Amino acid sequence: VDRNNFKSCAQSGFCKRQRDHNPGEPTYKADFATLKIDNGHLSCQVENVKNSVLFQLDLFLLKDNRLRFRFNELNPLKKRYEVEGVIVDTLEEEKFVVVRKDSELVELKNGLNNKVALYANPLKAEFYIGDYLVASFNSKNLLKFEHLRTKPAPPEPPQENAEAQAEQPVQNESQDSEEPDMWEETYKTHTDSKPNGPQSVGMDISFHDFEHVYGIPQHADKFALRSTAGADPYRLYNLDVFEYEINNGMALYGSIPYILAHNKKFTVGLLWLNAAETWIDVRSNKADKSIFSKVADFITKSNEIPQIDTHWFSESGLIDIYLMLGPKSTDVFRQYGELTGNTPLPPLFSIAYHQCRWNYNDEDDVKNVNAGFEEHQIPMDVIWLDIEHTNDKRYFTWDSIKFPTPDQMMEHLSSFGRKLVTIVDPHIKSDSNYHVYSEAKEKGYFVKDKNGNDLDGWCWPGSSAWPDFLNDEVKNWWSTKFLLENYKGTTLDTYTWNDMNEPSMFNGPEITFPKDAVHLNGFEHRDVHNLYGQNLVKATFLGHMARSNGQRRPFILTRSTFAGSQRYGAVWTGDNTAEWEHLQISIPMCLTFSVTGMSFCGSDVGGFFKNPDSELMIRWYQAAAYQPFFRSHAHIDTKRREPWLFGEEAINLIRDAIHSRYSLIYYWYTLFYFNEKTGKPPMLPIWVEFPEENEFYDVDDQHMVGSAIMVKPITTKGASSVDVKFPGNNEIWYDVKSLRTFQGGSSTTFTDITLATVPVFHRGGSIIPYKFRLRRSTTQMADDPFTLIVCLDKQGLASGHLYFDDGLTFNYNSSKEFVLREFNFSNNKLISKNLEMSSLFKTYAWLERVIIYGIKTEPKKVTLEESGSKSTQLQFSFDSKSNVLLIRKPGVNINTDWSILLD
Amino acid sequence: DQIVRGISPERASLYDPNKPFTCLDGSLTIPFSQINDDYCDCRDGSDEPGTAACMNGQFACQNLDYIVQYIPSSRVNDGICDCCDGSDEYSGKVQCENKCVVLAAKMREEEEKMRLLREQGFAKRQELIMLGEEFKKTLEAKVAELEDKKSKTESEKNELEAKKNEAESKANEAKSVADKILEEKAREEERAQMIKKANELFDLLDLNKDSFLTPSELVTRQELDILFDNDGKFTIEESIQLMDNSESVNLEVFISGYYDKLSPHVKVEEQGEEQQPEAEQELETTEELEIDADQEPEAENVPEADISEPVKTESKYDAGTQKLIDESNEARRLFENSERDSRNIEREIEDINKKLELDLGPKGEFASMIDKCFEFEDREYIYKLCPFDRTVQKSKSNHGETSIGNWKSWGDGENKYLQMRFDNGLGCWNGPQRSTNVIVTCGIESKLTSVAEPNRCEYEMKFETPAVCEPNSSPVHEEL
Repeated sequence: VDRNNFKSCAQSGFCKRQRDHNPGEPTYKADFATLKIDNGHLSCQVENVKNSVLFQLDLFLLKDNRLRFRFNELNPLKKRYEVEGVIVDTLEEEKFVVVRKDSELVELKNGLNNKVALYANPLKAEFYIGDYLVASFNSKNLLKFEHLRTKPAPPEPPQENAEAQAEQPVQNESQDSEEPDMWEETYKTHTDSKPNGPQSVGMDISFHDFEHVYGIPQHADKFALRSTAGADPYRLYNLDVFEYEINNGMALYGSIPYILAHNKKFTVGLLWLNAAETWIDVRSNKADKSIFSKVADFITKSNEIPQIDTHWFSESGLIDIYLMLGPKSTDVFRQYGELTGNTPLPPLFSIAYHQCRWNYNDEDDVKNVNAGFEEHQIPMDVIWLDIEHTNDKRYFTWDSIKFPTPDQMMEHLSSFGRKLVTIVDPHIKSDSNYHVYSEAKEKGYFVKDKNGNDLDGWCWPGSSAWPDFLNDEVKNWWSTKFLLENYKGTTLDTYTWNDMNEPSMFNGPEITFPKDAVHLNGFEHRDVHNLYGQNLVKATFLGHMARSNGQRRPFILTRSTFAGSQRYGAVWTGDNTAEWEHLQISIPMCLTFSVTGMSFCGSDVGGFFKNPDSELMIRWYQAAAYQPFFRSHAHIDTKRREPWLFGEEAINLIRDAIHSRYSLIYYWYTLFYFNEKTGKPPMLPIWVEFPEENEFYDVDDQHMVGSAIMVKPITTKGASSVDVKFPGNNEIWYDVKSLRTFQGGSSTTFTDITLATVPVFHRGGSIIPYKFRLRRSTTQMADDPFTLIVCLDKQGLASGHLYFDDGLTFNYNSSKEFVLREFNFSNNKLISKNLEMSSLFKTYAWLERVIIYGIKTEPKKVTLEESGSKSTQLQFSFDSKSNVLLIRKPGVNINTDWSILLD
Repeated sequence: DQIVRGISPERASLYDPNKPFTCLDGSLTIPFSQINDDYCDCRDGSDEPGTAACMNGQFACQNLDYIVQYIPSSRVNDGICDCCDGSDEYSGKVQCENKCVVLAAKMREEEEKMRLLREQGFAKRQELIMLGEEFKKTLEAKVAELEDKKSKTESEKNELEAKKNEAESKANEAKSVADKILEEKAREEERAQMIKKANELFDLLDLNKDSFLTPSELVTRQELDILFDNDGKFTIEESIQLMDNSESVNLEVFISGYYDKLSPHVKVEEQGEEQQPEAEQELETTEELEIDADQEPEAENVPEADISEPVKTESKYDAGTQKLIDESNEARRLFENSERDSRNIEREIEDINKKLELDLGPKGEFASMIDKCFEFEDREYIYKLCPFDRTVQKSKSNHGETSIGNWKSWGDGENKYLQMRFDNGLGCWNGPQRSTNVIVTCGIESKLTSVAEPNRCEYEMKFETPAVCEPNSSPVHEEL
């Protein structure tokens, strides 16, 4: 990366002002004389005692153990921007009890006995779970809210009657002392005109008794957030960063201002709902101490309660905070999901394997790539077309020479059950003969520059303009572009990739829009920057809905994200590099996205820039097969790297890796179903499943897929050994390949590493549905039979779920056309139970085999009992060495009630 | 008809319904009822040839009107018709039309086309071989001719060299005589100059102008004390001693005995201050002259080097000597011309020999393509394939020409002539040097049929030529 293209905190006026803010005397004081309490809503005025500016504080106690803290100017000169379109919750308030109320302190309790304490002077809020203080706002008095003001007149010439002036009382001290960069700011060759002057907002937020915080993507950094002492704060500002580097807090393509804190007792989440450029400092009293202080000091204060202090500042907007009080991680996932929405169940094909490249050159190329997967019997569901497929980067069009018959190409792909994704970017080529441009121009739909003209910038097509997707009318107009009659050559098997939506503008400051560009209702780009990409994706989502009359589930991939983007599709980690470190960082990057709602995450398999060797390619496939979004992609200047181009051994290993994804596709699909219903992401850090095992709090090279599978991908070159830590005291883990068992609470170094080694473990106590038959794509798998793998825990118990539907439509929601079953094994009996009695879905899929791990003795007979009918003796075989029982061909339809009894 | 679904007739005997079945890899024996029961028992997939139960099975399409064709058994009943008779889709999920008859006809048509192509192509290949032989002969003849010419030129060159040497030695001899005379002249002039200066000094020192120089006249020259004790006083005794006790010396004696001794030290009064700079000027002038003298031979060389048109300059030599010099220059020019001709011929021979050394096909089929280029035009570019030389991409919009490879070698593989390799073309920005892989197939005419860039900066050309057409040996599928 060329760091000169991107600001450091010191180069950003408000970041410097806020970060260096040293309040001295407390500045903000609440006036409880103005206190109002109404249902779950408390409000009062707050005064900045230094300049008498008044503010309004609103505190909402929301249903499901959540709070909202909103802080704004009481009478701003003009309306400050308040984020729209992110919160989907009705924000139902919950009544509370006032425990204490005097002029200095108000204490409230919600129905769960969780407490809020609001102090008047200095203003401070404390949040308790039961008796435990978990979070506090402004306990360090770093609140700094730059009120809107009029620009001071240029300094007047010295006046003659200086004496008279001195006698005048200070009338209005509402002007803070002027600091540099308040009214104009220049970065490189770009000058930000700042017509509204300084308007940044910042506050400190502490997490008490926590040593670990996570979230605030997107950064190419570790999963557990680092202390930012001695470095720049983490930055949230959606940017197109060329050849990004790893292990730092530089801004990337997405911004989700959501942080989670976790300790042995609790998990809490906090959303700082602000779409402007935001920076976050993170300090840890424990971690910083162990780094910075003397040993003696460390020993004497070792009993100190750990604490994470964060400091948030945004360039404009309000302070609007949502606090999720958990108390468990699964509660926090639900609470945040209720607030911003969950990832809707993706169409089945989209969680399978995707083949992409910048670019598949023409229709023959597409056919040949498809034929390659056929020839080498590698499953694949989707081929992707990057920008070169268009007529000179005019989206919604085709290059008529390279793609003269896209409808025939679509038909060809569809005949294999495969899909196509085409790229549609937000920059619109400035060409009056291009209908998308001329329409938007005529309707006045483009983002404006500071002078009110259509903002003109440089991107792939050359001179371009950008629709203002914040405007719902623009979203609706955009959505019609996806109608099949408007987007010629596409079918319902064509899906969409929204790239460059940070937005990327090659000749703009930091490769994006100038901040003084103007959006709907006169709001400046600085107010809404981080929301731009999400609004594009939302408009595209509407387009997918429109073209199928709301019948088919959309699939969209986006590069830019904000809180709530999970409602529209998948994300990938952007333009990474074919290096081992980038393979390693893909895991923490996707874990971070997962716990912040953006759960459909993946990285470019192989690395976007540069050329991977076969070893890196193989290892990347093996790791990515266990990440939610699984797509290979490459830069136009790289060598071809379709799976069959790395030699015979690599073909087989890559096929195995992709097949491991397909064999588990219904397990993944079930996880995505629960993700939609509960907010719990499919890819998980280990601490979510084992919340009290603090040795896993900063583990990010090993992760869970659901509750039942743990993966430790090999991500180093020439690995000859790999260390695996097994969580869960009293738990058992089963090596998927060797069938060896491992005790929870131990760790093992595996030394018999080959290129075929992929350390994957089943958790004792789980039942996992597999489909082992190798098909061309998921389309052909619908009727294939299931294998259930039952992994017994120490008590001889196991359970699991299976969900599936037509994989494509909304009938699972609209008319209950789905299968949802629970499997339970106890007392030597495996029972399949229907969790949706009114399920209307018909399936041919049947139960092919059951494999039970951890059976101590060979049964005499195995009997299948179908509800209300006969019993059948089943063939079985028992391996006494590995304690594995294989039950042959129960043959029952998977969506019937049955049980299998071992005698 | 198949007894066991998915088994080709020749392997049917392996599946006996009256016996338990042992997996073909011998790993397990199962009841025959478990053959094709949609459950994979054998590790090698041999129990389920007719279902998709095994990952590694093979399904034999029946294809009664066509050839037996194997597909991976994972494609059985997947809703996609793979066998032309549709025998892989028997679950009823899809209805496959039988395409075998049409396919068989198509295949026969295709094979007939191929047969014709091979027939005509192979005939053309013979022409190419003959052309190649002719071409080779022409080249060899040319080499012979050139060798002949070379030996002629060689002897001519030797003659001219002898002449040149003779003329040069004559000219050098004459030049050295003339140079000696010139040197003598110069010495005489120098002496006359000295005598003139001595006269002037004698005049200056001979105060009473009696044409004799005495110690008392000399003692006025206090600066001569420098030749003695340099005590600042030049005494009469010292003066006498300086004049070797002579009472007086005349001009003649002064010149031969004292001028050299005294002249460096005598300060020239009154005019002295003017004379000093004069002396310096003289020095400078001498230096300049010396420089000119140094340059002289070079200046002479310039016209000599330009053999074609000797420039007439004022010669310092007499006419006779100059004539000899001119003759020697002319002889050298002729010799050098001849030497260049000889080198050119050698180079030409070398070039042809290189071509003759090229691998031009098993029977020289490609020989006639030396020095030839084949073009292909697409939307933006004209591509050129010049076998054994280079490949080029020419932009249509501007006249830019990019080298996309220089001849490297034939391919590898069973028939190396089916691939030409060019590498070391122009370097790519941020990437490798451009290269071209040419895929050669049998065709009736030699032509470039397509160019693609499957990898950035790696081009792939398809080239058809009779040069690789094989004779029709493989028989058509008579069973159809």
